[in-house]
Amino acid sequence: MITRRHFLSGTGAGLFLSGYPVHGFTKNAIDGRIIVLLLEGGMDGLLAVPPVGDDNLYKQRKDLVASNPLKLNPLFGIHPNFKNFSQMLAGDQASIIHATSFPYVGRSHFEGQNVLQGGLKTPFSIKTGWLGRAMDTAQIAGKAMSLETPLLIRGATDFENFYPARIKHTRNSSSQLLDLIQSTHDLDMQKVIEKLKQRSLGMVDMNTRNLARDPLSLASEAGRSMRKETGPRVAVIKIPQFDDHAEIGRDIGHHPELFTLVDQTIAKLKDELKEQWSNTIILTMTEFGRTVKENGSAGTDHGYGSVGLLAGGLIKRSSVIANWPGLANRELYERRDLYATIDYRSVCAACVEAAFGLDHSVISETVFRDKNIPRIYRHIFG
Amino acid sequence: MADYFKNSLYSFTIFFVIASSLHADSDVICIQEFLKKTVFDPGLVDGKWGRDTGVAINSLFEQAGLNKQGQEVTVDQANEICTFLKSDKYREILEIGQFKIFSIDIK
Repeated sequence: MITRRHFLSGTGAGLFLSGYPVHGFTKNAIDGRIIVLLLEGGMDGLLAVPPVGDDNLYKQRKDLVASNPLKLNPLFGIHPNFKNFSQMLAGDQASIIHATSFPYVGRSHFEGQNVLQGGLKTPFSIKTGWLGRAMDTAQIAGKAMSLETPLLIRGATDFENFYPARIKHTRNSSSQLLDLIQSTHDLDMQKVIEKLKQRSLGMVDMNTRNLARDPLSLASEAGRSMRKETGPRVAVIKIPQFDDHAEIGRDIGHHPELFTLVDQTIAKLKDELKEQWSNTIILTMTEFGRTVKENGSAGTDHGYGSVGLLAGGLIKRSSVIANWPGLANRELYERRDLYATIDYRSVCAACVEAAFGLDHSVISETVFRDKNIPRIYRHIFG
Repeated sequence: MADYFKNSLYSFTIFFVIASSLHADSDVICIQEFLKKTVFDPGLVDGKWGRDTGVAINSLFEQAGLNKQGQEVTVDQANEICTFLKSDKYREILEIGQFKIFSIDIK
């Protein structure tokens, strides 16, 4: 049986690029880029972005608030380890969504990950991901260039799922293998495979030089690929290990170290994207938040509402967006978790609207299959 | 004697209710009912422009960029505001009212 611990330890950091423009297939006019940072395990949103103006914060968790958070406004502060991100906030290139979650309250990593990637209310109810469906709808062709495509970017028309590799016991290179595949397809498909072949020649290098699999190296790789005119439009970077429950850290420790990693990953992406930064939106996603109160081992457990961090040149005005539910016991979900008062699918929908130029009504009905998702585009990108 | 007091109490209550309802302004009710559909809570929908209603409508207008030169709207403009909220701007203002924006003060 796969336990939760095995599940998490088995999934390391990873990069998945998708949405390479294919001539004749890609019709979408707006050239925005979306980068998702998948924070696997459940980020403690109250430690990352503490509501320092809420008197109940210190009553509920006095030992799990950074001793010196950077004050953003009378209600919210941010953990000092988000140095680069704070500068982006000051420069109107980042925003924060607080007390938010996907519509999932079950506190299971498996189900939570499935809901946030699938984008529907029920886990395991669909075999495509919301970002994949958004690419389908925006007619962005050229899908994932990876061996194991995450659910998030799987689409219904996932026609080119490819990863440059050699087959065991053969000396044929991947391009020879592609020659063979190409010869069995009709003309349109042959053109697509030709593109893949050219790209694979460039990627063999990446595949064989043992690219470091830490988030910063992956962010460099993603940024370099995405800044090209013909580069991928979508990237997913997995940042694991947000699964600590004991001694999660206040100023230093495991969670604060992960904040630094997320912060540096965002900064690295900005550096590498260069001019394309102005065309980009980066968003974090985590399966759930943590309990408001600390547990007996100086940590927190699986909860509900958390925080979402957004950065990129597509943002014009920085802000914290929150329908703050409060932290008094009666204001908590099941008297233990921060209530999620913003459906994070609204945030995802707004990012798709900004980067791919689809109408909100189309996104809510086609991508999330729920026409009641409120539009938050004006608040984030207006 | 007791009846006298009881009747007086009834009369007073009736008078109070009538007085309150006379004071209740249909334009204010219109504004409060709109605010109830947003996250800017006006408190009770009672037709009275109290502190909560004033704060709620002004916060919403500020977020929507509608407060002219930072000037706050007052009960005197209730009719004008109600007409505005029923205009073709209805959906846009309602959408803006679904989420609260907290500006960043570290610039």
